[in-house]
Amino acid sequence: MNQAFKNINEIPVLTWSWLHVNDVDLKRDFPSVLPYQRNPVQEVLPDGVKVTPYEKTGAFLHEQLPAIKAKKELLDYMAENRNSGYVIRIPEGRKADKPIFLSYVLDEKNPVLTDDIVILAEKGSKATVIIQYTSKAADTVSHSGMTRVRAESGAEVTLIKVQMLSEGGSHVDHVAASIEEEAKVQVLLAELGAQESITNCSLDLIGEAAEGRIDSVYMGDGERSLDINYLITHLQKNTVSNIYSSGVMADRCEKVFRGTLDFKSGASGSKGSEEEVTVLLSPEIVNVSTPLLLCGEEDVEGAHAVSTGTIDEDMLFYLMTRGFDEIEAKKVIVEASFSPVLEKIADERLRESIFSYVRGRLLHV
Amino acid sequence: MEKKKTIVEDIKRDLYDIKNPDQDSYHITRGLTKEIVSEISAFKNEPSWMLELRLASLETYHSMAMPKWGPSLHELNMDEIVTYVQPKASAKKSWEDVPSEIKETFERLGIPEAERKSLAGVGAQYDSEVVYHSIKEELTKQGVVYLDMETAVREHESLVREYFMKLLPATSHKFLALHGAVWSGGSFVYVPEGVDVKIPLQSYFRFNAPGAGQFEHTLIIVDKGAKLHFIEGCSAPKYNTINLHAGAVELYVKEGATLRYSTIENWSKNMMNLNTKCALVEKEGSMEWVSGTFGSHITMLYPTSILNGEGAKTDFTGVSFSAKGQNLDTGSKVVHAAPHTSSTLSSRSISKDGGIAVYRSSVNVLPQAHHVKSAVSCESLMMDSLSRADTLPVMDIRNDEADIGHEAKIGRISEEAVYYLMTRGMDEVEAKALIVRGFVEPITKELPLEYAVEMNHLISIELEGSIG
Repeated sequence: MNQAFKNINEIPVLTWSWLHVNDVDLKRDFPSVLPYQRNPVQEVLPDGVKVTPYEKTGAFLHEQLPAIKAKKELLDYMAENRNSGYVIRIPEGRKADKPIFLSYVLDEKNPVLTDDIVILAEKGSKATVIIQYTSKAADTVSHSGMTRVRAESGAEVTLIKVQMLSEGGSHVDHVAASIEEEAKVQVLLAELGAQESITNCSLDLIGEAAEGRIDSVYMGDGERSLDINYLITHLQKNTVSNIYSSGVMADRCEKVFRGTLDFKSGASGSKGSEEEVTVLLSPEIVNVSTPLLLCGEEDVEGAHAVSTGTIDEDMLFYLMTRGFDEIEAKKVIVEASFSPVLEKIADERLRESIFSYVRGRLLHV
Repeated sequence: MEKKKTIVEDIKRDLYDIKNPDQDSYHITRGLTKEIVSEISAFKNEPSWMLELRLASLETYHSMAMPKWGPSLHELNMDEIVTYVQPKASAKKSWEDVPSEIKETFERLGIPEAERKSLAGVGAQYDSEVVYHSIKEELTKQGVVYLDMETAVREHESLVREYFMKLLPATSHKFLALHGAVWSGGSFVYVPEGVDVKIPLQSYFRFNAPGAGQFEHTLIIVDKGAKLHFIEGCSAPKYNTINLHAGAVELYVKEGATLRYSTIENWSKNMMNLNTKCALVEKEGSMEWVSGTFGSHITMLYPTSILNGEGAKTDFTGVSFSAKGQNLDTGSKVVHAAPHTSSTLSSRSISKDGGIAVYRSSVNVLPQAHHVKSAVSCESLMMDSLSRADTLPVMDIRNDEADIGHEAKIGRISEEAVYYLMTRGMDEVEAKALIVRGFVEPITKELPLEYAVEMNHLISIELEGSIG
């Protein structure tokens, strides 16, 4: 067992160990990394945007980048075993006219990926970056990686990460962002595939009036396990945060959700909110939620809410009176629960491919 | 323009800080050894099974690590703690027989007066032993038992043995293991089937000796269809050495029974309050917790309800006030172990002058517990940026037929609420006063009038401007 993947995704403040929410171990062994031989970067990039292989950018980058919230052993492992990495630079003032698309396809020849993507959004720039991970159903694939975002003052970045790996896959993903004065970063995460998925997303609001938002959808069925850890840290005045997560759980799926809003002393006038909504479709699921609110500043407004329950019987009945059979009605309700997040994806083709993937997965539910 | 702030004053402690000389009581040797534990048992002339339980607990204590979560307990040195302090009095049934010095302490705290006015029975513990116990005659005639724990071990041995540390075994955590080894004092209550104890019973725990530990054990059994309200009060004068309170409360709520357990805790700020409370609630039973935490240097307290029978329910209402030098880590735990069970957990905290208020909770819904309902809410008021207010809830749901909701808020008074009240004819100060009182009202309304007044004295609010 690779020790780098033990006791990971640790919660910012520990609680009772018997609840098993403080951290997680990757249950499967993470295989040795082989070269990743495909080019994931789409050919047509927005004007002025540069995508450079990581190796050519020099070590100076590290000082300017946000720290990934992971233990040293895992960070060292990912640095030593990186087999794909890019730096995406959006120049000052540039508003990208189309998304920057990276598509990683894992297969028999490329079964292991450890990627490292850096997004540098210079002052006043604006861009959407989409990173997609897919694999064929029969392949056993493994992904670990990180995406770091630096949004300089006034910049706006939308980062969309879509994970649709095969049922035998494992996925360990980290996102970190530092968000400067009046900059905005929105991270949209669709965690739909893989047998075992461990995701971590941490946004630091380091400039006054910075905004950070994490929207996610997740879907668990079969024997899948999902372990989620989101954190937004308010370090400056008048910063704004929002975490919204919507999930569907079926069969014997197990999920742990950790979401933390952390208001540091000095972050006066800041506001944060967090909400998790889970629809349960099976009596055999294990659904664990841990929404944390940490506060060292008096002049803030922070709130979180969690609601969990089976499908609303009244809504189901209503849909059935409109001609849907029970299974179709359930699908409509599940799709509706994902819509608030997925509707934010401007790329229609991607959005439709996600809905189509979800519908396919719902066939047996 | 500088914001005006509402001042919530520190708790006035003069009444609680009066110390009695500690010269005449018996102290066992400092530290924690097999010999010390055996000596406590011998003092109490206990049956052999209790000594065995103590020694097994001691072994468990030594084998367990300190908790890795929660407030730092590095100031606690068990080698410096005196685990047993015997006051110069044994349990008396007549108030007149209690030594005058101890009697005066409890009279200052208003205990005998409360007994006359509003209680069905009173127990008073001073350091490690209960010094006074009484119960109204009509309740005794109905079969209600209210005794100090030592007497109960002797007079109701089989009943005590059946329940003692069964709900809270020593293996639960390190400080319960410690409790099992050195427990002393506390109360035993048995309410027979169908008996409704209409006015409350109260136990008051007073700590006088410096550098000592108090480890009282409370065991309450409310039999089928019976009803009881039990009130627990705690206080101690402040010393410069660390004192330790590691009590245990085991509550058995049988089918259709109702138990309300209210606590107003006002330990001094040198106290480590590592108390454990748990209730087992059977079919259609109801457990209500009302908990006010004001004192202590560090508190780790999470009353737990195990809803073991179909239709069982629990309500938890808690308020904590954390000021300078205090780290109050409080909350509640619920285990839904049966179908159609329900829980409502509601907590409020105020933190100021560098005080830390942590709300920690867990809701567990086991696979067999279908059609469960649970609502959790917590609200925190931060009075300054030296202080902290953290919220750490966990929900572990293993059945899809569960309706679970959780809400938490941190912040200041809503300007919209103030505006609304002002449009109804109040001036700004009145409006804010109403909102602050409303903030702690969920607990005051659950207390008998005398105790609600006491709690309002504990929190004195001076309204000058907005909270925050």
